[in-house]
Amino acid sequence: MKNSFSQSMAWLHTWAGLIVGWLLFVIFVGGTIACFDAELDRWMRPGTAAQAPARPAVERVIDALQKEQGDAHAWYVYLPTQRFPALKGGAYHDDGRYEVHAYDAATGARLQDTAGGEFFFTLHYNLHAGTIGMYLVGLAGMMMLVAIVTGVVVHKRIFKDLFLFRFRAGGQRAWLDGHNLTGVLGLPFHLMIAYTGVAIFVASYMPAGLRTGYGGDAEKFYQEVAPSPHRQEMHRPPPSRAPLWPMIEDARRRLRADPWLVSVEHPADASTIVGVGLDHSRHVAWNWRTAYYDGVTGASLGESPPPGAAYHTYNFLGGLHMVQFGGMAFRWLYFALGLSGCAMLACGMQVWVEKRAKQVAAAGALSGYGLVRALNVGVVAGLPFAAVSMLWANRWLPADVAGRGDWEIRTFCIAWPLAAIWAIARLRRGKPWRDLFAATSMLMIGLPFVSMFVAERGALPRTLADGDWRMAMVDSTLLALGIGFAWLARRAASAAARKESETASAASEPA
Amino acid sequence: MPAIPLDAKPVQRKRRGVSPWVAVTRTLAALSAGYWVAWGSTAFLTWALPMSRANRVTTASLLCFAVWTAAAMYAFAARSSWRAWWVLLLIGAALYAPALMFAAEAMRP
Repeated sequence: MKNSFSQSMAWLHTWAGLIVGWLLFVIFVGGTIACFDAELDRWMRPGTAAQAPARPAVERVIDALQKEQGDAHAWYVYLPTQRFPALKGGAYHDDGRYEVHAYDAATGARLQDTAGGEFFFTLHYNLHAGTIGMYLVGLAGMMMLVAIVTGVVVHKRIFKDLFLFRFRAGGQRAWLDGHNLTGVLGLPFHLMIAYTGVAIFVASYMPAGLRTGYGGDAEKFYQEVAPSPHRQEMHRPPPSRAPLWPMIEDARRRLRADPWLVSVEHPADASTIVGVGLDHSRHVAWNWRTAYYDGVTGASLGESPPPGAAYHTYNFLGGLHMVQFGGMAFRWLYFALGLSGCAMLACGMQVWVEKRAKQVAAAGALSGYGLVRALNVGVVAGLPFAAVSMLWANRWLPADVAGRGDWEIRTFCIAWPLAAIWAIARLRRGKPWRDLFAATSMLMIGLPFVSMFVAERGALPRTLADGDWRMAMVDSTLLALGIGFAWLARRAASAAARKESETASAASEPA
Repeated sequence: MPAIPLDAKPVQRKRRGVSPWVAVTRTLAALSAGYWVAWGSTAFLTWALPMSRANRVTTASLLCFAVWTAAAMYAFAARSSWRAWWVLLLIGAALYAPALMFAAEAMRP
C-alpha cells in the first residue's frame, strides 16, 4: 500500500485525538487558568492586603495549626510573596488529607476560605479524582504526545500551512485550518508541555527503574537524590517549640535568597524538624535547597546538597512545566499558548464531526456521532461556563458561610452538567454553542461589575486607583475573555444559520 | 483528451476507516504492549547506563515516554495487528531480560 505509514499515522492521530480530546481539553483549561493560580487565589479573597510587612506573623499561623491540626504529619507555612502577599498554613495528614488556609500577613487573622486557583491546578493534574485521576491525566498526556508526533508526521506542508487560514471557507476547512494553525504555532510548546507533564509523575507512571535499581524502595531513592535529615520518632510531645522567625532569618543568610516554604515535620513529636526552603522563581529548575533546624532547640542541622545531574534534569523538566520562573512575561506566554492549545483541541474535535457531516446527519442524535457532538458542546462550551459560574459563586456566597470553598466547587459541579444537559437537549434544533458561549460571555463581562457591589475592596475601580495591577489584571482578563466568547457566540450563531439554510435548500431541491 | 474526463464524479471510495475491532486491538497494543516496551527499556537502561544508580534510574525513567511514543506509533504502523503485538512484546521482553538476569548488577550503587 502506497503511503501507508502516513495513512496509519493519520488514523492514529484521529483516534488518539478523539478518545482523549475531551479529557485533554479539561486538563488544558485547568492548566491555562492555573498559570495565574496565585493571582486567582488572591482575587478570590477580595480585600487581601497588596503588601506584606517585612516581618509577617508566622507565629500566629503556627498557633492556629497547633490548635486545629495538632495531630498532622507535617505543617507547611508559606511565606508571603509578591504574587500572594498573605500567609498560608497547611497541614498534611497521614491519610493523605491536606488542609490549607490563608492568613493575613500583618495580623495573622484567618482570611476567607476559597477553592481558589488551587482548584484549577488540581483539576489540571488529577481532575480532583486522587490517584486514579493522576493516572488518567498521565494516560491522556501520553496520548497527547502520540497525537502530536503523529500530527507532525501526517502534516506534510507543516510550514506552508502555518500561513493558511481559510477562515471564511466555513465548515470543515475553517476548523481544520484552525486546528493546524494553533497546533503548528504551539507545536514546540505542546510537545514540551506534554513530555514534561508526564515526566513530573514518572515515579508513579513508570516504576520499572525504581524496581530494578532499588528493589522498589522509593524512600531510599529519594534519600539518595534529595537527601533530607530524618530522625526516629521519640513518641513524646516536644517540650517546647523554637521560634520560627530566627530560623527563617538564618536560612535567608545561608541560602542567600528570600525563603518561601517552611515545613515542620512531625510537629507533635519531640523529634520535630523544621525545613526552610526557597520558591522556584529564580531558575527554570525547581529549587529544593533547604536549610534544616531542630524544631525544639532551633539548632541548625545543615543544608540539603545540590541535586545530581539526572535529578537536576528532572527538576528542570518539572520547572519548565510549572512556569514559576521568568515572572509575569513567561506566565502570560504560557497562558496564551495554553489558550491556543484549548483552541487546537476544540477545533480538532470539531473537524472530526464536520468531516463526517453526512453520516452525522443521517445517524441522528441517538448514535455514536450524536454522542461525540454532545460531548463536544458539553465539554468545550460547558466547562468555561462552569468555571466562570464558580467565580460568580465566589462573589455571591455569604462571607461567613461554612465551607465556602466547598460551595464554590459545588457550584462548578452543578453548573457544568446543567449546561451540558441543556446544550445536548438543544442539539437537534437550536444553537447550543451560541447559547452557552453567549451565557459565558455575559457572566465574564458581568463579573467585574458585580464585584463593584459585592466585593468593593477587590473590584476594578479600587484596584486601579490603588495601582494594584495584578488584581486589575484578573478583572481585565475576564473582560477580554468575555469579549472573545461574545465573538465566538456570534460566529457560532452564523455558522448554525448557514448550516440550517444549507439543509433547507438541499431538502427543497428535487432529487 | 485527458485520461480522466473532467466532469467525472470522484470514484466512490470504499467505506472509510477500519473495523472497530482492529482499532481496539491496535489501541490496546499501543497502550499495553507499548508500556511493556517502555518498562523494558527503563529496566534495561537502569542496568546498562554507565552512571551512578540515582542517575541511571532517573535518566532511564525520564526517557521512557519517548520509547512508549515510538512503540505506540509502531503499533499502528505495523502490517498487521498480530504483528504489532508480538513484535512489541518481544522487544519488551528482550530489553527486560538482561535487567532481570543481572538483577544484582542493576542495583550497583
